Amino acid sequence: MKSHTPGKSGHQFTLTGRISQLIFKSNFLWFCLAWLLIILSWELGSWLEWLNPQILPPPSETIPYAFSGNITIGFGQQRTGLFESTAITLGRVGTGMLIGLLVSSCLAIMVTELPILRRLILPIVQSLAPIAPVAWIPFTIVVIGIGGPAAVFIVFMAVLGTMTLSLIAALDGIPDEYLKIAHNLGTSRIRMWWYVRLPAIIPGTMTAIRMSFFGAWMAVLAGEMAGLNSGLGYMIIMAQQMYNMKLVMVGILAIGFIGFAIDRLLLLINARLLQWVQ
Amino acid sequence: MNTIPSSSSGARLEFSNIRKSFGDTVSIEADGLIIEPGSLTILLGRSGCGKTTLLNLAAGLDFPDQGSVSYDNQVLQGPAPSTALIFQTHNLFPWMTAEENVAFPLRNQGMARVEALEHARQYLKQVELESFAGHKPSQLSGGMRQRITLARTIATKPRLLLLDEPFSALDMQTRRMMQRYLLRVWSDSAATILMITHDLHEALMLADRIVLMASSPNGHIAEILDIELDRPRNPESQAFRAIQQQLDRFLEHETLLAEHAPILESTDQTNNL
Repeated sequence: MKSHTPGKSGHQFTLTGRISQLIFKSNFLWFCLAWLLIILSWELGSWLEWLNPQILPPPSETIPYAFSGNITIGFGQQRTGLFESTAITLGRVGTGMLIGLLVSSCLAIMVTELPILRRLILPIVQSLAPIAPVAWIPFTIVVIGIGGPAAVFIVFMAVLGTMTLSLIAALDGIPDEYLKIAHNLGTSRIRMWWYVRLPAIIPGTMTAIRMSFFGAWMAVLAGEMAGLNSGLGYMIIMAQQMYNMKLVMVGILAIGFIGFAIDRLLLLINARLLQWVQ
Repeated sequence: MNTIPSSSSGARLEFSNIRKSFGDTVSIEADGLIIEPGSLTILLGRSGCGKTTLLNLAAGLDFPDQGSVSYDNQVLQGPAPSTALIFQTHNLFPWMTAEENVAFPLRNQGMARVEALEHARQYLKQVELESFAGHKPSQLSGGMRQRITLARTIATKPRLLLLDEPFSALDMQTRRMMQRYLLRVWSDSAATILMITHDLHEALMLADRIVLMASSPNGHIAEILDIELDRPRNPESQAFRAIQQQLDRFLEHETLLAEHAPILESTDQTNNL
């Protein structure tokens, strides 16, 4: 007997239902469509000579160039490649964020455990947080130099304030009932941190990491463009100075796609870690 | 029902001449309130009459500005020993499974993980949820979560059980079921129970003493009723209905007082001028 599936629930099993589900629910499809539109407009602009191909090479040249193998630029010691530069920049962001997370976690724990430190530390962190990461670049170059440690320091300063404030807010926002019950169940101070406070602030921490990542990613690229001697930002500046506009475009696109991919990855980790959130 | 040994006897609580304020507002004033061992006492009253403050004082999570709270004739200086707390929500840690939640206090006592989880599954069996041992609270209904909370409570073998509107977020059917579970835990453990509720019916179904609390001018104990109805209680009985009406009148009077309090205050201020 042929079964009849009435109403909305049956819609998705039909061919049109599947197609409409694919069209309206697939974020990836919309992502591809949006980029296809940009690429087509860009190509059309070049073809109609509205865009100067010397300044903005069309996608028909830029995309094959991006996939042409190991793209490099510069001479001698200054020579650098796309993959190498990307790895350097990612390494700096990762290291800076990790140190930032560790230091801000320590500060948040200290502030929670010792109320007197809250009065002392909080004003400092609140004053540091609004400073734009790029404002640290001149200071960093003078004090630390133009190498990797300087970039890591810029990332660290970019994330320290916001991450510390977010962690403190997450710790303050733990429902009182959890702490009362844990206390009542005879939980020791260490177990309270490890099994109650830490898991309770994972949602806030993950949001803080995601928000900080954008700041860190932009800060390190700005630093590399402003004077640090390696990384993705440095490669773009060198490409611009050597008038390799295809590489400039490839570099810019790489910044966008890598930033997007890492944000998606963090979202995925977030979803995995926070399956318990109601 | 599984026979895991429970606490030997309930704790005795005594509130002597206590006064607790938050800022300029006096939350509660109470004197001579004694909660007898093994009794089931309900705190009943409008919001803002100091019920939760009284419960926090009993738990030793807060301390009076004046007077003292004694637990088995010892003045409380910190969290009350052998005490379990149950709230309306946030009782279970959502990042732990049902069995991990129940095993948590056992692990706190130093029991090995495997052993604690094994015990936890037995306690879950007592509330008929052993097949949900591996589920996270977000995967369970409100009633199931409160049953797991009860299982954890049994695991701690409390001598004093403090409940702050534990069933108010549940639907009527689930609430009735939870009341039966609570009575079972009470009769098995002989623990002293002090519970807050806004539900008259619930108060009468459970309590052998009801402490009526009023909020004007400050939170205080207005009356203490001994409920001498046979168990299991019949809400259709004349005696049940008579007490229910009496409590209803008290709460109505309290509501009227609270609604007119701002008007009376402003009249007083005008007269003073």
